[in-house]
Amino acid sequence: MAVVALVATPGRAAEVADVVALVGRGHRVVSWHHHVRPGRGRRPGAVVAADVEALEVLGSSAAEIGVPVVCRVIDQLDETRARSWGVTATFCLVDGPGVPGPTTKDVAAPIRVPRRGVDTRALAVIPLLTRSQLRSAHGLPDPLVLAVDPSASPADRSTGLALASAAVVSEDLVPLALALGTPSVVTPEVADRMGLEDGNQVAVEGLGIDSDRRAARLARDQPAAASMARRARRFAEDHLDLARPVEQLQRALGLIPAPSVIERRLAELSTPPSSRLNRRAAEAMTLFTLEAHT
Amino acid sequence: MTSPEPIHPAIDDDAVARLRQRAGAPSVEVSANESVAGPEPAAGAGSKLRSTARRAAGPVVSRVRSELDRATGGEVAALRAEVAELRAELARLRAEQQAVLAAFREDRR
Amino acid sequence: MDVLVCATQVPFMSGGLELMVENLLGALRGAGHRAEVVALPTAWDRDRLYDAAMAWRMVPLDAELVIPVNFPAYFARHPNKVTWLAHQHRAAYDALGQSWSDFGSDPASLRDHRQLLDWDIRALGEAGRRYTISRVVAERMARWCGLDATPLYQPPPLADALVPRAGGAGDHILCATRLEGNKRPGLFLDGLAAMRRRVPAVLAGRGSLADELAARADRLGLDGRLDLAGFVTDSELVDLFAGATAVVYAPFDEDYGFVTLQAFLAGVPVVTTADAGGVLEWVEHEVTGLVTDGSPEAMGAALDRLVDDPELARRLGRAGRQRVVDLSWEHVVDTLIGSRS
Repeated sequence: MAVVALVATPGRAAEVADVVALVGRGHRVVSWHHHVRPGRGRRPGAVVAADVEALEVLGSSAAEIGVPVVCRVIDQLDETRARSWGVTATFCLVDGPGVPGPTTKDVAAPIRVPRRGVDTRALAVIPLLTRSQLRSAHGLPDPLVLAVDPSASPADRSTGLALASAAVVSEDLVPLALALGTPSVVTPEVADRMGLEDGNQVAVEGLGIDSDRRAARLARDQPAAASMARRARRFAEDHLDLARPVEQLQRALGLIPAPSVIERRLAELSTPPSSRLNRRAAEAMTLFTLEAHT
Repeated sequence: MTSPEPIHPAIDDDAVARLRQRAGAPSVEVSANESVAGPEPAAGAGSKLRSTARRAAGPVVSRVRSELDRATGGEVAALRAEVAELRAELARLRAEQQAVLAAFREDRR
Repeated sequence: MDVLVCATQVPFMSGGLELMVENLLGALRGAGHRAEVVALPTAWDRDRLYDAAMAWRMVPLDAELVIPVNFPAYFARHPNKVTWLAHQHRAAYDALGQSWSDFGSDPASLRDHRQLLDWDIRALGEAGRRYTISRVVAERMARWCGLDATPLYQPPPLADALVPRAGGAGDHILCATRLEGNKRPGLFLDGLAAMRRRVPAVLAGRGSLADELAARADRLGLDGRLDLAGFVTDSELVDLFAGATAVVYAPFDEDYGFVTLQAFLAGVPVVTTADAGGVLEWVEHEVTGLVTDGSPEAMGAALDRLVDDPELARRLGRAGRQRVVDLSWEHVVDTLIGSRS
């Protein structure tokens, strides 16, 4: 278990607390100023800087501190300063797909962490035919069209979205619905804010009976619903995913090893870590793992 | 339908039972403007952090207790996966609590 | 162009897919391309189903184009992947609920089902272009995976040898098929028994239902009128098509069905059922054949109608031939290579 320290200019730390919690899962997360007080002689294993100014607290350059550092940036100037200081990686918090960022291979791009993201690796997509199987196994009607109650318990909301043929979804549940591949009806305002298109990742309709009817129509149109579910999931992975950027940050901080080739292949098919197929692949490679250690 | 390993983390057996009860009934009203997410912890809420963390950990602890009760009924093998899940949940809660505390200390130093 | 056709090898088994791959390979080479088949062994039981899919992700495929033709070959990784899909893993799709599908409603099954569909959608989604052997296969992919595909039809085996007879009416009713449950050869027997006219008939093919069908023919009083021919050579099959008044082909939810196309090339109309799947892409009621509800009475009446009205049979057969006579391997190759889309 490593010690991951958060360092920040006062007033700048709260915004990155969620990211630090994700990056530091399974490790010990501490405040730099609380943990590494002068005279204590304690060094963390990795550092997350909430802003570029905070890097000066650590020293004049990365070489001085001697542990991997990642830094949050908000613009290109930040990015340049952080890179010249010698950070291992930079990250930015993004609101949606419209946020620009350096993408060419020559420019070191910040890792983009969505503010309202979902862990798509933990929340695997549930394809429509599997939903139908699940409904049958659970004695639920097929098709099942829901307007998911935003005031219901988290378990009720996620279960409804996971099993629905189509659903009317309120804004706070949209990331979850997209990740699960639920054919969703959202309002024009929500679609605008999130960069979603009618008939592409979601169906867009005003509130009330129109949205209910649209969801019912969507549930009956299987090819349209399946296509929408596929695009919704893709959108969640491309723009709302927390798992990949967090993994990139963890890797930059040396908290997890680089994945093996077979792990990369399984990951590109979005195989959940808990899948039996990961174990099966690991079993197939056991011989070589043993060889490597003897 | 019970299983030591959940079919999917988004699907909760009790919620399925509730859904079954109301399936077929008219769906509930949607109010898209209504946010159910709890308010972010205020920056000056340091004294409340520990109680928040305790509240968050409460359900986990009660689940552990109920699982232990079940274990006495001879379901030890079936609990392994659930215990692993609970560990992961505790790790998540611990990291969240530590991160909020670290951010608080950095912001208020 | 260097082309690799990616397929599944099920050791000690050979069937329609192997024939399709062989024909595609020949057509690619005939068009001047360097072509090879890459086949990995696959097991169909759920426990080992994913192993070959994982293996495909690791196999180096050094070619300009790869053409996977079935599950799990389409898990092949290649920047220029063009699928020509014969089928996905049907046990997890249209065959759910059938006795031979090992995907049930237990939690382990449901987890595996979710995983398979998710993987399928991603692996098929990687393809730059997607073709299927029929519209039925394309529609399944659209309905369950949300992915578009274009049907790309191939000529059936013996296409060059099958030509309409010179003249006169046919002298028998033919059913040429594997004698397996999904092909429903029993419907043919029931239809024959329900016919008013006592014309001769031939059931050609082998399969696990052979003994059961012989007993059923006996029970139905078809003895002496029905020839249970079993295996027939290619030239015998050509002759059987040429002499037929009508061909009965009534499988359940067929993917493609070469028999329909062979009958049409021979200028013979096809009698089928409304649930025959890909067969209905070719058999249009009272245009190229007759579509029935599958009941013995309806099958018998349809066959009587063609026997009673040789001109109708000829007209439907001619229209059928018009629909398939232009199918060619050259078109298949040009489309897959990308010189025609």
